[in-house]
Amino acid sequence: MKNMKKWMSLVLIVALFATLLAGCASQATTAAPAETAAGETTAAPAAKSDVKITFLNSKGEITAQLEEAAKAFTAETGIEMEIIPCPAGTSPFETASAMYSSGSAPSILMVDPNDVPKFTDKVLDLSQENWVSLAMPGALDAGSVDGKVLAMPLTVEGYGVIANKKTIETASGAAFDPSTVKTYSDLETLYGKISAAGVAPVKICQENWSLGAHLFSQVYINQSSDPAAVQKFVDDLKAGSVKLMDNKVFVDFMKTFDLMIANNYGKADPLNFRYEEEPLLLTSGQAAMWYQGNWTWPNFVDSAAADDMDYVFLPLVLGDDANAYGNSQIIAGVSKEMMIDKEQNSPEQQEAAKQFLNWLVTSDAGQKAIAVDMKLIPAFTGFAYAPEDPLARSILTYLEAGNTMPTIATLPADHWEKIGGILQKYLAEQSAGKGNHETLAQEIETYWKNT
Amino acid sequence: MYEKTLKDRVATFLIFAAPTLFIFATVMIAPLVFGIYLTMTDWDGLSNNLNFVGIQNYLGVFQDAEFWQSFFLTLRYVLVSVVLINIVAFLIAYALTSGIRGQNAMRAGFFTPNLLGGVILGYLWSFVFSKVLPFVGAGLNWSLFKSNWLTDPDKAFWALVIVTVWQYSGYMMIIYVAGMSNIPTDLLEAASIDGCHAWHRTRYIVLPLIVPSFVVSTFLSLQRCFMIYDVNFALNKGGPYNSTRMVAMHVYQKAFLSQKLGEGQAEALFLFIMIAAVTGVQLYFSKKLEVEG
Repeated sequence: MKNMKKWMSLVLIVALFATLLAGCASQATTAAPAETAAGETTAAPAAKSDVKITFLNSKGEITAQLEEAAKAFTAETGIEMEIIPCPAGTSPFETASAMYSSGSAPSILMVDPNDVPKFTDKVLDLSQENWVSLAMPGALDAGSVDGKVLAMPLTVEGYGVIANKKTIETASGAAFDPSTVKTYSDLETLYGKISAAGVAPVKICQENWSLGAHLFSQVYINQSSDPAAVQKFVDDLKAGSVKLMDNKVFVDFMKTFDLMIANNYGKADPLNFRYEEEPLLLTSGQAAMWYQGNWTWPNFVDSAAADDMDYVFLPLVLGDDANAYGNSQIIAGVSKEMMIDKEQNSPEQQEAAKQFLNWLVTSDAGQKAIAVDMKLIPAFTGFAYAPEDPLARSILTYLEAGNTMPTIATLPADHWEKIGGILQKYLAEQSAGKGNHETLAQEIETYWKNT
Repeated sequence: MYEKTLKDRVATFLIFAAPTLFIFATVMIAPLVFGIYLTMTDWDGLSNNLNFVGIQNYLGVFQDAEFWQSFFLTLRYVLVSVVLINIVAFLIAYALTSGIRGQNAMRAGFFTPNLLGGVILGYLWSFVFSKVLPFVGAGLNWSLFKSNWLTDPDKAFWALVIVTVWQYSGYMMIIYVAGMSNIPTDLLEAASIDGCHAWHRTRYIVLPLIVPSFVVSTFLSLQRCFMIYDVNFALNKGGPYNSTRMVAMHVYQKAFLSQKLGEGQAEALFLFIMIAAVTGVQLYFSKKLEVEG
């Protein structure tokens, strides 16, 4: 009996120790298949491959469509792809750097254009890929560092004032021609007509990324049609040599912003909304305009009536000069870049990733996924499909007429979060009648000086 | 059983403690040391080159107004939360050890919020504050709830306190119940025979004898409230325009969002030292209150 007890206690100790090692063992075995799949990625399509790649998606609106595209890709090539979404409210850089630190970097990462230089030594050089020659002029600029193409642009997006033409015409009782709104006074008159009919003229998107990255970027971009002058303005802000209250664009911006706040839907509690609810206000006719970009069309589709397709983009008019730069243009540019990691992914995974990027813009299924399912404006020529939604078509008319302003890609990583927060505070204060332009200007100048 | 040599005693110690010690060293100590090294560089979290900058990051911590603002906000929050958690937990525990019917089921019920986890709690209460309460307030015409508590900086602070108290009262209640169950009933009987009212019994017998539970409960709630992040993020991502951003969230944002890992790590180190100091002082003074049963 004593031997039995001794034997049992030994078995128990070994079992307990084994559970400790179990965690280590399983990690080793899953890392092996990726390396044993040597040379199998270029095998005949539809043959099941052992290569598995991951895709970090930072565009929340297209997650479902991206997963469908991944399935179509797997059906054609046998390579499995897992879509990893970024948590809402975080920047792609945060999630990507956290994944790198934990050793699980994605094979393909989708980041914002201003994040591309930070990953220079971690991503593949894609200058020799087929799609480089198919890109639209200027589309590869943001994703290139030192002449090497490091990222593939996903789409060109534009943002401005989305206007529901039908709501405006019903409220004002007359046909609405977007080109008639060119000055602040025009805008004020239009707002007056709409609010007289009981409809809120505008809904300000209170999300910090909308206020900080998009709305406020007009203050930088509208400075000049010369990108070098815009860059100088940003650099001067950083050096602390700009007094915003003396800057005409900023003063005009504040005037328009105040007008929007005074006519904001739900201005009693302006911050109590969620981004997902706001398209409902436009489709139900409770608000007439919304400052947002064409990426938001999937959110409209969920709530829009089948015949309600009459949306058009208006420029954000600043000041009373109809010919001022920015009063007939909307901002458009490449908004998301896709890069392939070379540090933590095996050569086979890198090849598979290159194959996916190629498939996305040259194959029929891939082009359909981008233009029709995800409703994105492609950054490449030779697409057999074009997005059919009114927002994308409105952006395309501005693009074709040359009436666009380039996006600015050199803002600091936390600009959207910090400036967005400052603007939210101003939004809440001004809605209660206590907003102060001087304080706002000072807070923004302080942020720039401390960057 | 008694080993004669030091070598034997160390060997016995290692047989039992080695796995845990190894895990503790690799998961906690090694990153801490590496982190201290990082505080003296200007790494941005991703690039492959980093430069040694000495104690510049530590000086930056003193100059970072946002860090100190969020730190003092966290202090206010901790003070209010710890007091409320302990009071609520004590009252619930007192009620649930008085022998009413179904008290065991009720104990389980009060403990459940703690099991939900901070993120789910945050989203749950975010929904309650932004949709349910304004609906009730509008229906009953009760001005306190008419607007979303989470969009006003002061009310958002109290919203955060409410969620924290709701989350941790159950857990601390268990600790108090354990303490109260250990009070020898003959003491209480003797007191009531001698003519003690319920209030005097509580004040002179129950309270002194549950001081160990009080020490543990205060320590745990202090430590957890200081390091709050999940509820802070899930409830309202640091409040309307960052007004309820607690210090852990500020450190995370400084390190990963602003990409200043060295400074963020230096702030985290400061935080660690200050929390250790506060909880150490709390334990020291609490030990003095302990009374022998």
